[in-house]
Amino acid sequence: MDNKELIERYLMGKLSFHELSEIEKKIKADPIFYEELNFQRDILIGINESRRLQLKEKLRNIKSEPKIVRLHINKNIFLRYGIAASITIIVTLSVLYPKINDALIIKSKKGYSILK
Amino acid sequence: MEDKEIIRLIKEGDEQALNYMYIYNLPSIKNYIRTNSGSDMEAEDVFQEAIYVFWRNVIQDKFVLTENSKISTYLTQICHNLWNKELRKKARFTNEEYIDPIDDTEIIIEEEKVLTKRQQVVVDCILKMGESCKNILHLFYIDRVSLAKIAENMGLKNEDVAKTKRYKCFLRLEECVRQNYKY
Repeated sequence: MDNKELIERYLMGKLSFHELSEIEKKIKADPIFYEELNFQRDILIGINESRRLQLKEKLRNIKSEPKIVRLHINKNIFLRYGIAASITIIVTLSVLYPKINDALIIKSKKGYSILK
Repeated sequence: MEDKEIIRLIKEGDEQALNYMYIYNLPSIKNYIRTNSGSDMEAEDVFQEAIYVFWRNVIQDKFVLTENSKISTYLTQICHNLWNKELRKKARFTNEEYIDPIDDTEIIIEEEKVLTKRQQVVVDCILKMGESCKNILHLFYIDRVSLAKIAENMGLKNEDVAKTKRYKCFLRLEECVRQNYKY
C-alpha cells in the first residue's frame, strides 16, 4: 500500500488497529508524510463542502408545493351504485305502498264520515 | 415512500429521496419557524441544512432506523436545533437576552467551521470540474457508495472503470489545488 492509499484509508476511517498505530508513528517521524496527510485532509473537507453546497442547490431548485394527486375513480362504480340504489327504492316502495295506500283509504273514509 | 426505502436510496447515492423528504416535510417546518419569529426563506434555508445533516448522518450510520424512530420526527428535531442556534446568534447580534427552549433532542449539530484558504481552493476546483468527475468524487468520498454501485449509477462498464475514473478525477483535483494554492 503506497502512502497515498494509506492516507486515504486513514482519513476515511478504514484502517485496521495495527495499520492505525503504524500510521501514527509515521506522522510523528516524517514531516513530509504529515504534510501530505494534511493536504489530503483539506481535499476531503473541500469535497465534503462542495457536496453540501450541491445538495442545498438541488433542494433550492425543488418546487416546494406538494403535487396535486388526482384520484382516478372508476365511473362504473357510480353506475353500479346508482342501479343498486334505484332497485332498493323500488323494492321498498313496492313493499310499503299497499300499507300506505290502506292507511290513506282509512283516513279518507274517516274524513268522509266526519264531513258527513 | 417508506422510511426504509428512503434510507436505502440514500445509501445507494440515489437522490430521489431528496425531493420526497423536502416536499412532504417543508410545510410543517415553515409553520414552526414562522411561529418562532422566522420567515419562509429562513425556514427553507434551515430545512435544506437539516436535510444535509440527516443525509450525512445516514451515510455515517449516526442515524439508524428503528421501530420507534421516524425520519420526519428526526428531521424536525434537527430543524429545531438549527433554528435555536440561529436565534441564539441573532440575539447575540442584537444584544437581546435569549433563553434556550428545553432541548428535546440529543442531536448535536456541529459548529459551522470556516474553511481555510486551501480548503476553499479545493471547493473552487471541484466546482470547475465536469459533472461526472464531481459526481464520482462525491459518491465515493462523501456518500461512501461502493464502486460497483457507482459504476451502475453512472452507466460505467464495471467496477474497475469506476475505480480508474475516481483515481484520475482525484489526481486532477489535487493538481488543480497545487496550481491554485500558494502558501
